[in-house]
Amino acid sequence: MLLSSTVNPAEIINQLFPNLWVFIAHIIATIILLILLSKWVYNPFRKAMRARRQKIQEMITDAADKQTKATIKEKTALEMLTTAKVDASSIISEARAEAEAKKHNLLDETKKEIVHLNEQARKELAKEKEQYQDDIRKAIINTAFDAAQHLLEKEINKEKHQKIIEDFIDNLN
Amino acid sequence: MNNKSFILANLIPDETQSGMGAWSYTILLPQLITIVITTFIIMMLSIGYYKRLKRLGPTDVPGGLVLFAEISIKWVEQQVVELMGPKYKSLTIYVMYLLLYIGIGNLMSVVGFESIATAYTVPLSMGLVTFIGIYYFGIKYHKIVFFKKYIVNPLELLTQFVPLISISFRLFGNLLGGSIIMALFSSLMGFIWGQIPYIGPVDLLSGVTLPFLSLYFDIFDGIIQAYIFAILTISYWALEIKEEGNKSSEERVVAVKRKPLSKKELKIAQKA
Repeated sequence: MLLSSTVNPAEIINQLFPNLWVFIAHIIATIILLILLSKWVYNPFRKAMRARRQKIQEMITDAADKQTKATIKEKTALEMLTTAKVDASSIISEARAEAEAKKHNLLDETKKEIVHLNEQARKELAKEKEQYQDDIRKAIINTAFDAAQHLLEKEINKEKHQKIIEDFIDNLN
Repeated sequence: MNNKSFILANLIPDETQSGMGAWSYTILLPQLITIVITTFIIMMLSIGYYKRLKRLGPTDVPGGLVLFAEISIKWVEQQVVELMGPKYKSLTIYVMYLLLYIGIGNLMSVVGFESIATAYTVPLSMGLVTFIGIYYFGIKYHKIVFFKKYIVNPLELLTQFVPLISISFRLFGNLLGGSIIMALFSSLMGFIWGQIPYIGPVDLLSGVTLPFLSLYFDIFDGIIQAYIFAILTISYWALEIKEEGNKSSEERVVAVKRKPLSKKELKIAQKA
């Protein structure tokens, strides 16, 4: 209150007792303010709060969903990893065993092959030897026949005889 | 005196009259301007808040006026819910109106206007709403039992008007008292200043001391009285609701959830 009012008792009396214009102004102001605060302040505030709450709820639900999915995926990944490790070790041991077996087989086969080849070579050698011996024998027989034929056809003297022998020896070479 | 001159005579205070003879219900009081300006200020604040809020999305961070308004509205809503229960959440609008209207209306005295509550019509009108509210909640929750106390104790017929008188005169008296103290203090300072010889007519002593008094009586008192008026209003209403809350288990649960002011707190508030 302004100081000027307080020194005038008449004004205090008028301020203390009801006043029509102040009452009308107050009622109008009250109605205007109540409508205004409801329409432009409180209701928009509640609407905004609702929207914000809904958004936060959505984000929380979304985060929870994602977390659940991530947990499930993590579990699956861990299971897969464990299975993969078991599989890998079994594959490795199987491969090792197989490789060992193959190695042994190969060694056996190679040994057999060597023995077989040796045997075959020996046989072929013997065969070749036999064949050469036959050939030589046949050649000697033929040469003997040829020499006998020559002896029968020609007169035998010392010089001719020498020459035939030399030819024979040359043929042998 | 014709009709027109009668109306004009009643619009201007009669300086020659004293006592009840000076009273006229049609006199134009300076509080009228304060009411208009206060309404305009609250309107501007509301529009400002609404426009800024419209621009914000649900994920945007509020700031400035919007943030301050949201914290304040939430606080008021919390007070209403704690005292009266979530059912009466919509009364937040009325409490907001009381706080803003009385608070800003009282603060107008800082810039040279009359405080809104120094015209007793204003606190009386708001006190009447509180008073009618007590009857409304009393009859709604107690039905015919509400009037039983008047039969049992006829003195209640007198004491029923206590809330109306105390709530309205507290507001009016505090502000009027504050201004009277300031006027007396100003006179005292003027008197002391006048005793010092060879000093000019400018009262420097009042100029130095009065702002501190104004800080208390105009700003602090103006705001605290608005808060007390609003809290007392919903406390009176909440008491009527609370007393009823022993009938059904469901209602009891609601009553437990509410936290009305204790008698001690109420006494402190009434003394203020």
